[in-house]
Amino acid sequence: MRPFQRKLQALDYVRAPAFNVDDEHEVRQLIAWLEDTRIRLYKLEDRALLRDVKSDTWPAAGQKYLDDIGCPGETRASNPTMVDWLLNHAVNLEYADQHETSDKASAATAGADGSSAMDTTPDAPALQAYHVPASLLMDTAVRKVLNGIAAALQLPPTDNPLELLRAVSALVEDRLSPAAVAEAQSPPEARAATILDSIDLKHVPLGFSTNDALLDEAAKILRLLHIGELRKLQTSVNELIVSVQGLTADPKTDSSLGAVGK
Amino acid sequence: MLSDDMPSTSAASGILRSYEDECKYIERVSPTQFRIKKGFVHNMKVDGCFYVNQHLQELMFDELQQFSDSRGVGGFLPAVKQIANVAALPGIVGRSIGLPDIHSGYGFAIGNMAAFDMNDPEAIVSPGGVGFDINCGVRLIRTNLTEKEVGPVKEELAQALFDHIPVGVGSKGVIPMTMHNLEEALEMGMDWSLREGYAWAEDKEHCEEYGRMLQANPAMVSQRAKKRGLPQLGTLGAGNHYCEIQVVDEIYDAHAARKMGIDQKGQVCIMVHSGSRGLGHQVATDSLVSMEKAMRRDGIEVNDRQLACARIQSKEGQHYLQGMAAAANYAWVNRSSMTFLTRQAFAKIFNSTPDDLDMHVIYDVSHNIAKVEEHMVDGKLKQLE
Repeated sequence: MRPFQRKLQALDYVRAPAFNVDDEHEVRQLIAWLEDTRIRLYKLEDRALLRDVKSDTWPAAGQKYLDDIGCPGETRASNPTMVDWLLNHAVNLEYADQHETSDKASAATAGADGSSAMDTTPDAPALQAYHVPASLLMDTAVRKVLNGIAAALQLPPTDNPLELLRAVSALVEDRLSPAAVAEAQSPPEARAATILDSIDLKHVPLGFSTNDALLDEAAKILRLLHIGELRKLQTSVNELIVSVQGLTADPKTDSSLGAVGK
Repeated sequence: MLSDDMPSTSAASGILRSYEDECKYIERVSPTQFRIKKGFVHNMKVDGCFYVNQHLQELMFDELQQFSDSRGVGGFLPAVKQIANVAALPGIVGRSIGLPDIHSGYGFAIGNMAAFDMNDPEAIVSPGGVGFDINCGVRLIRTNLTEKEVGPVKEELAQALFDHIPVGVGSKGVIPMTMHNLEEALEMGMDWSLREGYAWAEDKEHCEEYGRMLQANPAMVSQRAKKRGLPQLGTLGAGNHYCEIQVVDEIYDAHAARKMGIDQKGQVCIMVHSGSRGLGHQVATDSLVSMEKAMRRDGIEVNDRQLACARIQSKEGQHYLQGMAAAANYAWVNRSSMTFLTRQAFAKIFNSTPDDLDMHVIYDVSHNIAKVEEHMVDGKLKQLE
């Protein structure tokens, strides 16, 4: 694929297939189009100089535009980096716009059908990590599919679709990635290592009992998590010790001191 | 307190009975556990118990029969009697326990374990319970080498180890030490080894007490003990001490083994069994002398002279515990130094680095040590030693 095609397509730039970053005229046209339809930094009446892509005054207007929009100096050194920066900027603005709209829409949907799903509205920043618009998870059809996937993966049901999505994606990454699948399909001897690494909670000693199997299990899980945290702490302590050893350590031996006894 | 020391003879103590009568005090609890009931020897405060298999069981009872037949004259005091004598010490909590390596020792039986209540003013500490080689212990170091790789260079490797780690009575180590270094090592234990670069940061994690007893006080170690210990750092000693190159024969728990970095049969490991050398021995000897006086002063009665002891809270008791901790630190530094030397020897022969040979410490277990721990006794939290 030619450079910038994906971003240009994402922005619905009609001339995308023909775009050539080395052609000064096309770059000018793109910038004018971006400002007109996507970025909209200037008021409509102030965009005239930028739109006049064939004029001798364009280079000056272009420079001023880049100044105004805050394009960093080093990215302006070449057309490709400058165009890339502008495209990223435009994509970001576009994403923020759409995000806002969809959030409003989802709030409206939830409000409209008055469902109890209000309290489980997924939080936006968490969703961004999955590139999923919030409205999508509120869609009953999508939730149905998600619940189906979760059931197929034998995950326990939950009312919070975001939590479920997290669990599904963690499980898929962990167990169904190409590497994990290859591992699972390899002969048993070769994969003994992975199987052993999963711990059966039944075999984890707790040292006390609450007489409530579920509570005991939760205590075991908390303990394992705590051990994991302690391990991380100890590892960073060790790293610190090693860096201090860099200053203090000077081990010596002197074989002339040695003497074998009787 | 846990003891693993060389046995010695002892005067007979307690009541003389026939073997059959003696056996009435010993009751089988399970196929591998026996209980020694109060009354077996004078003054027992708690029961004794010991864990044995069929083979060890026969030895234990043979010992007792011989003792009864000779009417207590000459020979060893049998381990069952020693366990019972320990159960008669002031301040003992729970039971006097004989672990499955049980056999006759000095005062305490080897493998004899007992706990004393720190808050009982009568409770005692006994150097015999710790043993003469304070913090003698076993350390296992792994490698990523296999028997096949080591086989062809066996001789060179053994020679390199002998060159690095002198052995025998009166041997001297190759690590240069000053009296000042020694004082620091006694106080800091493996932290000293770390600071000086003789140990890896991870090594500490695999040692009891993280390789350092905080109550150690070098001032409680006599000059004589220090002089004995100074040239001996990084040496094995004699007796049953060894530095062995071992091969993994069988893996019984693959999960646990893998966590310890043992993943195949034929993998080569190194085991070091050593302790605090002359320094620890001198600390124990010094304390026995002072404790005999303290026993007369405080009117402490024991069934066996070898069970010399002092109250934990007395000057002599505290003196001993602080000196013992310093000697324990010396033992960890000693094993760490030998680990360093072993790593060097392997690196030299295999023209590699200890890191690349994956020479991590798997464990370091002390079998001659007294520690303060908190435990639930009869539903109450008690500080025990």
